[in-house]
Amino acid sequence: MDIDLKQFQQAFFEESLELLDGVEQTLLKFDDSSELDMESINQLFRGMHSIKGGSATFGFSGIAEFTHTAETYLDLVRNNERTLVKESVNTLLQSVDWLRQTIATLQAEAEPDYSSCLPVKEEYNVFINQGEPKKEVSIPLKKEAPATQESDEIDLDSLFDSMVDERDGQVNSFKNNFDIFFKPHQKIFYSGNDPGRILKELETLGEMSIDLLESSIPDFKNYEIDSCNLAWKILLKTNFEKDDILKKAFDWVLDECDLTIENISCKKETPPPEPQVEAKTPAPKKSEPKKNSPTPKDPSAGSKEANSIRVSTEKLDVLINMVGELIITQSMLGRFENTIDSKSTLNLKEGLTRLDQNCRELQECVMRLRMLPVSTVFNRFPRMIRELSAKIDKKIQLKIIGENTEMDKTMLEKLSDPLVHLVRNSVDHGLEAEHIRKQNGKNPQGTVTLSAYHEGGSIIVEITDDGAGLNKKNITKKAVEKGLISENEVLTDEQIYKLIFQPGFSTAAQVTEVSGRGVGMDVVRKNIESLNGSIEIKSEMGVGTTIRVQLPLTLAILDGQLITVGHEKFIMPLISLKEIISIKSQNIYSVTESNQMYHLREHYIPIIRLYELFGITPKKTELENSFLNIVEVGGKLYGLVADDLLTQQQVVIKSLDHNYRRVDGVSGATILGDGTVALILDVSSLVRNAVLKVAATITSSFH
Amino acid sequence: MEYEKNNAIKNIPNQLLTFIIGGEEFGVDILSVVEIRGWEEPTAIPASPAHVKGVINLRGVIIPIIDLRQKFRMTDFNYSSTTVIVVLQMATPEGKRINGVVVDAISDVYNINLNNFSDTPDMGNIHGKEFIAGLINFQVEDETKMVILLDVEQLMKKSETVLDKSELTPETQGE
Repeated sequence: MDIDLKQFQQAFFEESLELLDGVEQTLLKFDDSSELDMESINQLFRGMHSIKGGSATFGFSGIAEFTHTAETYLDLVRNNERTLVKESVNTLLQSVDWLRQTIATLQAEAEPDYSSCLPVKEEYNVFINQGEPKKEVSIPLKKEAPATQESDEIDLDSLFDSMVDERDGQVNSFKNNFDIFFKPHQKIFYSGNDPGRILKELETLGEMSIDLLESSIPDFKNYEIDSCNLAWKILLKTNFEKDDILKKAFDWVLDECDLTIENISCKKETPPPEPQVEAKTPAPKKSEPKKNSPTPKDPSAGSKEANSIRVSTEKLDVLINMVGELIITQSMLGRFENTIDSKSTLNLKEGLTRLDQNCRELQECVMRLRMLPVSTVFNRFPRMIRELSAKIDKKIQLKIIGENTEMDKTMLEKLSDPLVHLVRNSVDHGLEAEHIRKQNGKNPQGTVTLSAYHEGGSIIVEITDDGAGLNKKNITKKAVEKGLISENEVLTDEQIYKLIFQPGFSTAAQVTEVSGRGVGMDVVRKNIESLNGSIEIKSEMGVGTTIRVQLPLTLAILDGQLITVGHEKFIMPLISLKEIISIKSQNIYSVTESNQMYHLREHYIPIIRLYELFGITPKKTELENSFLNIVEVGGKLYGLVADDLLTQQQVVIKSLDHNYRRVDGVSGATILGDGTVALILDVSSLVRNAVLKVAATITSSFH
Repeated sequence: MEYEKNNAIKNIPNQLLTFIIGGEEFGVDILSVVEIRGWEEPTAIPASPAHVKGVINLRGVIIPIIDLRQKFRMTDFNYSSTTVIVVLQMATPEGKRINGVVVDAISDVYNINLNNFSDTPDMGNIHGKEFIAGLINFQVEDETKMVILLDVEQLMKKSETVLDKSELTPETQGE
């Protein structure tokens, strides 16, 4: 396959996955009490149909065949010849799974196991045949289909539809019956045309019977190999019109043959479903006026997709960078605004103000380009809850609030796994068994609520369950057992709940298939922190638990405090900063020469001189009136010394690693308003390095 | 006696951009040059080798600035009005890598072809040898020029950014 097609292949994979998401969503709406409306059923059909068409185009016959089976069934459903039941919905859901898996395998350029769909296919056949075992007539995909690509657009719809028509005994009365006389001229081979191919093409249009007319064949002596002396009489039953036949089969050879096509269809009584089938058969020609289903390549899963365009994230990033630079240039100009005061330059002032507004708007718009609604992640939960509910036999209701809240695409992807874990926890540990809930007068059906909203400059995602709540006693007991806290340590509720984030911590009595191993919460917290976010737990015994995840609007933006150390400027992330105080020397206590503590209220905070860590000559070594940035790492407080405090601002995080490398103590860099670069401090690694250094000096001082 | 042409250099560029560093003429394949910028003070990076002066902002991207004069242990260097930064790029599996190199002045652009290209002598033991791909001799009008070809790939290798113990000079960083 040449390079061009590979690009489209990727688009096909992405579109198919989107279609599958849409199909799954619709299927989940079906349950015993509510049936699906016709529009939804049509959507299911179209989804499978589009995937079938696309996969056949790229030669993925395994997928095409499978989706064809699904489509066959769905076609019967939309014609009211079959009704959707729970079992068939399950089959369809399984099909979605298989298709997703297979597409993922193909995307990874590996060979999928096409035979693994056979059991599901069998289930379809049961539904299609309504329990009567019918011999599965496997009709191989006509390999000629790609060959006709050169002469005409592939119309796979008709290809498959005619196959359905052949297999499904119900619809075997064709609209038209043509008597075709086809005699190619002798020199037809010279133009590269092959009557054999034409006949095969005809065959795909319907039911054909063919007779060779031999009268023109010369005897052996006079036979010329490259001249055509054959003629055929063909009876073709098809739903196509004469014009279609001419276009499809004979288009290339119209002036190189003798051709007559006569419609001799006898009027059969058409059973009621017929007209429906006709109208719904996807148009063979694009120009058919009464088209009620979109062309195969149209991803019509959700109508909101109608006006969208795919853009690579690389292009977006370049755009975001450029807008960032624009803002800097604009703010540089803006600085001069204050020095302009003459009346004649009033326009200039106005211009600059408008420029400022425009730039801010532009920046906002561009930042929002990468935002997607959280529904893209929330949407996998109904399915998950449905399956969990069946597996562990608890009745669970899922509520989703604020699914249109938008979040940066990369963050959303990274948030997905932690969320899954938290929801699983709620379901497995939080919600009690039905009988216990009844005993306590609770609704036997447990509720898990997922909500997302904007608050201040952050996004909040909450997972709430109305289950048993966290048991403080159990947690403290387990923590003491594991040696995480001492027996008589007094902790606030918040601190107790935070204990569950320790690696290996779990109060679950048994390890279930779903959870209990104690691996998850630690990883969840790390993942959330890697997104520059934070996680909090609120709980009440017997009532329920709420887990609150706070995330910045985008990965790329950080709230920071600009500080100076010597002549260098650094950014201290606000999220790590607890407090900043002006240092008074009387509160400094020296443990050893190089190891000093600051006395603040009831804490003794180790003092870390940033200039020492970075090897910078500071403005002064005296700490009086310098600033102590108090941070918390690993539950302990530390103080980082800065010479001066500048502004607090939002900064865009730039990668240092891309063109240079990772630097210890630095998590990235940013570009300040004047175009210069400032490094962003990585508080935890700074503290770690400082602690190691102190340890080293202590040991060396003993030698 | 004919000596064999010593092609120690793997890819001889078609066009060279040359510049002066410490009085010597160095060159790079012009295709690896992104742009030439005036000198600006970079932001220092803690615990970096002496020849890595720091980083600057190139249209929203942070790139490191390398002073080869320091790497080659040249003694007399300063930042004058002709001091410029040559911004180089290189394709890697992870994407494009961009670095800036400090040079005293830009020299010229030369076309190299098989006719004017002659063999490359051996290098001997000099500082910063690992950044040098080889020596190019070529004819320009009537005279033979010798240009030291820089190995851009080596320059941008991540290992080069790690502090070499022999270069530990804390005073020269971030003043």
